[in-house]
Amino acid sequence: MRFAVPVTDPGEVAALADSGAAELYCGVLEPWWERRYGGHDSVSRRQGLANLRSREDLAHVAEQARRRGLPVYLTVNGRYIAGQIDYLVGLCLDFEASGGTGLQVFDWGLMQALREAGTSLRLCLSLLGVAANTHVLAFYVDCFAISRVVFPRFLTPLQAGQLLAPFPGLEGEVMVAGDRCPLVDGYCRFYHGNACAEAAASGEATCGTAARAGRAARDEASCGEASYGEAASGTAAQAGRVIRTYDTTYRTHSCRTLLGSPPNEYPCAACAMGDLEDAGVAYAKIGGRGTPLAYRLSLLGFLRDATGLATNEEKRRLYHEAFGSPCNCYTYLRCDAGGASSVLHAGQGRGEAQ
Amino acid sequence: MITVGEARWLEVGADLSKASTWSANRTIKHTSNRTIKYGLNRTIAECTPDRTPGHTPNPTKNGIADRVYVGSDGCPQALKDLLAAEAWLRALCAHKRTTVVIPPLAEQHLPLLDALTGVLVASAGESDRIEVCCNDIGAFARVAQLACDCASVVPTVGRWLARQDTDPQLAGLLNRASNPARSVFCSGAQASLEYAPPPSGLIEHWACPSALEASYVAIFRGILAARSGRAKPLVVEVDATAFFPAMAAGAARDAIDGADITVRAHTEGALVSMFPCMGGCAECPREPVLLGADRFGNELYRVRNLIISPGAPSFSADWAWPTTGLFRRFAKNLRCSPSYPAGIIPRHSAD
Repeated sequence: MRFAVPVTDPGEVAALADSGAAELYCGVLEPWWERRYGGHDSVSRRQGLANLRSREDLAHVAEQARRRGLPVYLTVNGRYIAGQIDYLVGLCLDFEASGGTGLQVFDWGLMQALREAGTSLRLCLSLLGVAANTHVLAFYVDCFAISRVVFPRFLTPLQAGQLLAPFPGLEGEVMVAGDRCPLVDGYCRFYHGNACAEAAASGEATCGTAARAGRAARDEASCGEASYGEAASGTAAQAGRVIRTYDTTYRTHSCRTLLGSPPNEYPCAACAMGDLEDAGVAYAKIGGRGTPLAYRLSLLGFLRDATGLATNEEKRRLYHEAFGSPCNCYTYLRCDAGGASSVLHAGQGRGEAQ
Repeated sequence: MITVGEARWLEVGADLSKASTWSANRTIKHTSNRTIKYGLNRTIAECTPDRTPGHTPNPTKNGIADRVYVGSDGCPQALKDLLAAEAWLRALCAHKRTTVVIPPLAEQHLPLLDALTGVLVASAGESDRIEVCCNDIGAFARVAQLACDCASVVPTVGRWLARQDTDPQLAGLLNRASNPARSVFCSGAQASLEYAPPPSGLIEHWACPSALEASYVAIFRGILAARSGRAKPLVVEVDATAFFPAMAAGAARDAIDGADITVRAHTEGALVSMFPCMGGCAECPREPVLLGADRFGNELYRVRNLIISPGAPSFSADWAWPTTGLFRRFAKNLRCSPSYPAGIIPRHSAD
């Protein structure tokens, strides 16, 4: 499988390419947008430090990737209102002019506006589009000519293959590492605030923000203040050490509080990759935008090495060597289901049971 | 137009002999003079997928349900239950205006959708309008296609398909009292987080479900017209969050443009999140189970594979509408609409 890996800084492109990334994806959160809509993910599911900070950085990433022959996708996702579309169309067209490859998107208004703007960017239906049946896929193929789909994480390899079969040429992508939420991403409305400044320093943050917070702590230029909406990019907060925000009490996601946190930070579906590839899913996505480069490189290296192993037992052993803990399977793609073939059969069984 | 109705959620197999006296199992939201009025008489249609502890159904004085809901917004097993009760379902459709709620579907559920739609089309001759509330665009398109020759069966936009921000925490972000100053440590120095209202653009975003955006409305209408062969009404189901008044005003904007959208707001059991259904019904609670409360004290429950917020939010008097501009823009439009009551606009922002 070809690994799609997140990039959050132009300087990371070389390392990711050298480590086996087949393509890159990234988000952009410009100060202009952040002043109006904040840095959390209730708008667009693009969150704070998981993103590049400027179009210049975006162009730089596209240029660096082009030199290494890597496609780059810009993650814009969706659920926008009319007043946001013009800005996003401009952003996407600038990305295209910089040599970008395509968009991870699900917003109908944005895709329609981009079509009217004459973009040639490839459109990839993002994870949040929840393409769980062929009628959904047919809608996006017919209306917006998507060329790739990121399948929801609860689909089995067999189910993903069934969805791809009626659409020749449509590429499939599945999340295989770095992000493990038990909920359906596209049907989740939990507000995800940003790691707070104190968390950056103390390590208090949880749920994937720890890595981002750690990055912020090392990066004095950002210091986490950018997480606080309107006042984030202003200078007043710096001068008076007052940060104005509509969310003073955020510490962690309420879903984490209610449901608990995953057991460790290295979830994966390595044991399902062979079945996914057999089902026609060619792209394996590593989640975790905004996590430290070392984290993403470690996942990428593990997955690359795991691809060459014949048995799940070998993959589990490799996982333990790489991360120092027992393996942490994606909830619906478990290696202990009895081997690769049982992943397929288990998927069938679950489906039929409904 | 924005219509107001009264609804009741039914369990499959309910005694149809009492259908004429079914009350609306919903709580009426009265508003005080100090806060935002819902407008349009006194109520917004609402229903609840299951009774939630602490929120006892509270029928209105004349609250005979004029529409009943069956099915589920999350649980595919509901499709099987409905198909297994085909005769009951047909009788129900003959007795009452019925909305059959379809959860987001996986591929293996599509035959169930086709079969169920077939039952409803066959029932349509003896029924008033039957609505099939679809929670993914694939199901919406499919029902439109299957019911293209049946004027009485109409696909509607379910709450998941409507795409809306419903986390009750968002209401807390409008409230200064819920956001006290807090000392933090940043870049080696102390700093203070102090409250400022959310930017107007963000509030507008929170208030607007995607389904009420013009681009989405056009696509829904296109599907209804193309696959149904004739214009069918567009019905959008939403949750009545703290931002509902602005949302309703947004729908009114469409009304002014000549659109005919029926918006139904559920004021109990707002959908917040969903677990994927993997067929293990034993793992899903049939009755609401309290998961806990968020930092603002909002309780969240799990029922079947859904996470829901039980009640409609209270509207704080100090929230940020006057700063938004949103109402000002809509208010200008609303003055053009003789059919729309001014009461939906907060007094302090209708300037």
